[in-house]
Amino acid sequence: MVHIVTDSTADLPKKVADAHRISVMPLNLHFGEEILKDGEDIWAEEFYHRLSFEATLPTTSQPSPGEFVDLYRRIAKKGDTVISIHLSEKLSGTINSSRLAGEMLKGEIEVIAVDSSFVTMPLALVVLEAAKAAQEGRAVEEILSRIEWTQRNMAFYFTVGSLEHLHRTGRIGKATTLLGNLLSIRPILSIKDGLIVPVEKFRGNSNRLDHRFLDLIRADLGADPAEVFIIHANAPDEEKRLEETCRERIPGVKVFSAIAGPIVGVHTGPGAFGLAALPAR
Amino acid sequence: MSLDYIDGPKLKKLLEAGVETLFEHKEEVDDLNVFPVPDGDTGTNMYLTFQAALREALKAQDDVKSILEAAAQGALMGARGNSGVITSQFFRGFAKGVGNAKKLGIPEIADGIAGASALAYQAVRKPVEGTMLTVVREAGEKAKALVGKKIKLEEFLMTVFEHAEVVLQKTPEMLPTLKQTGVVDAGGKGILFFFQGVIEGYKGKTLKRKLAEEKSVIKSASSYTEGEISLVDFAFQYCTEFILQGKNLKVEEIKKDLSPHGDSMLVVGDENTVKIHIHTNNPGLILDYAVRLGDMSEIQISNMVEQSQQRLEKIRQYNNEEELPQEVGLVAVVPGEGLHKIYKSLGVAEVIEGGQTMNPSTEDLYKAVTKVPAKQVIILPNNGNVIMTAGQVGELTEIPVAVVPSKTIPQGISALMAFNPHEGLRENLEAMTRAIGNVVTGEVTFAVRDSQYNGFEIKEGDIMGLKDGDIVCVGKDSTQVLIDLLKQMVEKEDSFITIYYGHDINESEAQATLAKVQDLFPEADVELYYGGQPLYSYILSVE
Repeated sequence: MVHIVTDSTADLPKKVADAHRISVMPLNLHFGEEILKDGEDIWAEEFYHRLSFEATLPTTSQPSPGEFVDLYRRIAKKGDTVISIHLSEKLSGTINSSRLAGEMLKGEIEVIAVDSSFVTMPLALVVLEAAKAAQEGRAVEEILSRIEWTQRNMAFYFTVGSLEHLHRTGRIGKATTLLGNLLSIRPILSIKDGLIVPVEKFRGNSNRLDHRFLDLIRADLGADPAEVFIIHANAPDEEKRLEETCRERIPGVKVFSAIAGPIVGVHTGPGAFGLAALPAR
Repeated sequence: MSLDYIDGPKLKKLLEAGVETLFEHKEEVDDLNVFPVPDGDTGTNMYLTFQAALREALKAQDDVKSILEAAAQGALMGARGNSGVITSQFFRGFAKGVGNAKKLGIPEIADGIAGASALAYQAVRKPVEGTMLTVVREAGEKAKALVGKKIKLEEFLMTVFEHAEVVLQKTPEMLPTLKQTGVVDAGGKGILFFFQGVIEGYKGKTLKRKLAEEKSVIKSASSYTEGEISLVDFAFQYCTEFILQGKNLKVEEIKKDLSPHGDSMLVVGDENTVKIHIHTNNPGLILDYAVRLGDMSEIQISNMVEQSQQRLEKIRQYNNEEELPQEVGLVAVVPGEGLHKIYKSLGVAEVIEGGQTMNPSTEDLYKAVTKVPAKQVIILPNNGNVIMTAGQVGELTEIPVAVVPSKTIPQGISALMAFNPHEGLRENLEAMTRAIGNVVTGEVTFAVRDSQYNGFEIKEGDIMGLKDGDIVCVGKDSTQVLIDLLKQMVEKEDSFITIYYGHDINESEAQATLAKVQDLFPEADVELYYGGQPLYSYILSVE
């Protein structure tokens, strides 16, 4: 039997994960002396609330190899295969813990650790493709080739309220700056080859920004998407407006949205939002 | 008294001593973190991992094998961060290297360190030299070389430790990122603190604290590597915390009494001991209330506004410190203080005052270029009459200088939007020159003399509207001319209009003009900025 595992940075709503039989390994959120498991001890809403008054700044850390061993043993029987899909290795060492766990389980459970090269919503889309294929009873090779297709065809763009957070936690190159920003310029960012990269600087109001996102996605896909996936770091107004823009512009489009959890939120800061889409197959 | 080997009970003590020393120094290790390695706090993470190992080790039977295996298992479960994961492999490898030995003498320890190094190298996909991996590998090699020499265990440990220290000091030479920041590897330093503690423990140092039992109390010094900071207005400014001891304390009642005085309240405990945490604007009131109920201890009051500002300041400083000399630097010719600031905010290193009335000389431009800390420079002349002058600068300088032929302020801004500090001179020159075409420029100014142009009869003092340098409308009122001009410039309903108002327009006038423009073009996105340019009431762009 094949099991699909990801980590909490996929920001998969619990219902969706359960429905697709996806097991989620939490990363750790540190608030000073307090260590919380993402999605178990703390949730997005609570996290953003705490962020607004906590004097201590949170940090994040990857799960330990031992925690992965326990998880794999809990879900898989001897002889089973686990496809463990994680956030980009260039952003976190999570997949290394997964790999080490896999080595320790050799001969017992086959663990295939997959570097999605993404994080948050695009990671969720990769994982969902894999889970659907697994639920259809596809062979491992076929699941892996679906994962690969999804990675290759992903269109994902986002912006952040401020680049300071990504700078501080080292998730974006130092050279990506917008200095004083007197002209209210916003960065449009993407994830390429596992790294967060600047795409362009954008000037104008939020509505124009929504359209720019959709222009970029259409250029990538060669057509308007049939489904779009919105992710936001506690930016419900942006989420709502972006959803409306999508519906106005693309008749009949299906819109899904999710809130970025604590781990992603630590690095982007609140107010980040963006959207992902895949081409029709 | 000194045994020349380490047995089970002794091993537990040494582990404890090592973890204590690491605990004492973990903030030093945190501060060695090299930006922008995406690994939060190396010292804290290593300490947490070691602590998890120690906790399990102390629970184990008193034999060496059980202790080492328990420690390895503890580290594996408790590993935090990359450094923690590698540490957990050291523990596993050490246990594996030692094997079934009942006591740890020189040969066993040497096997252990070598085993630790071997397993850790396997665990890391692309081992990087100049890190804790190198330190432990070298320590292992040194230890192996000492096996069979006639030395005491203490001397052996010291020799290995000293060698590891020397290797650590060399790590900046092996890793460019360390060299840039001028620090040694944080993980390596952490391992050595542990090792140092072990040696001190072997020599008989007594422990100050019971580490395994204690809840990890972490006060990280390097807050700039940590997460979110938001400039919230704190409704309650003081974080007030203390422990209250008394008799018949009623948690629910305390909660009820305190809750009107703040938020984020936490009251936990039993009838003898209660821990109270609250954010309030009047800590005195809270303490006054509590002192009537019992004895207070561990009282901590901190000003959250101040903390938040300090942290923000630290982050800002940190972000500024990292500015490296750029590949490509920028120089621009710009009129007016408002536009100067805008250009500076877009990354222009040197702004030269000038424009329509005052064209800078080649020398002015040359001087500005020499002040730019970059290997190559791009000039934005922002005026048709400056382009040629700017073109000559490259003949005077040693570094390559290129000119983007921007004729207006908005063209210059469009070019700046396309500037990418990651790219070289040629790529930027192309992208920036192309971007000039994305914008239509409008200017509102007055006639200095009577004249005829484009069929317009123009009197001295008349207000003129120029579209990309051509007079397209004439009038007596600058706002009216601006609107006439915009009507000729705006082609799409949902255009993006930016207006920079000049020195002779005050803010309320400008705001009134903005309101009129918004009325007239309800679908457009209109932004207004203070440009402060002389002679030109308005400079505008339509995209």
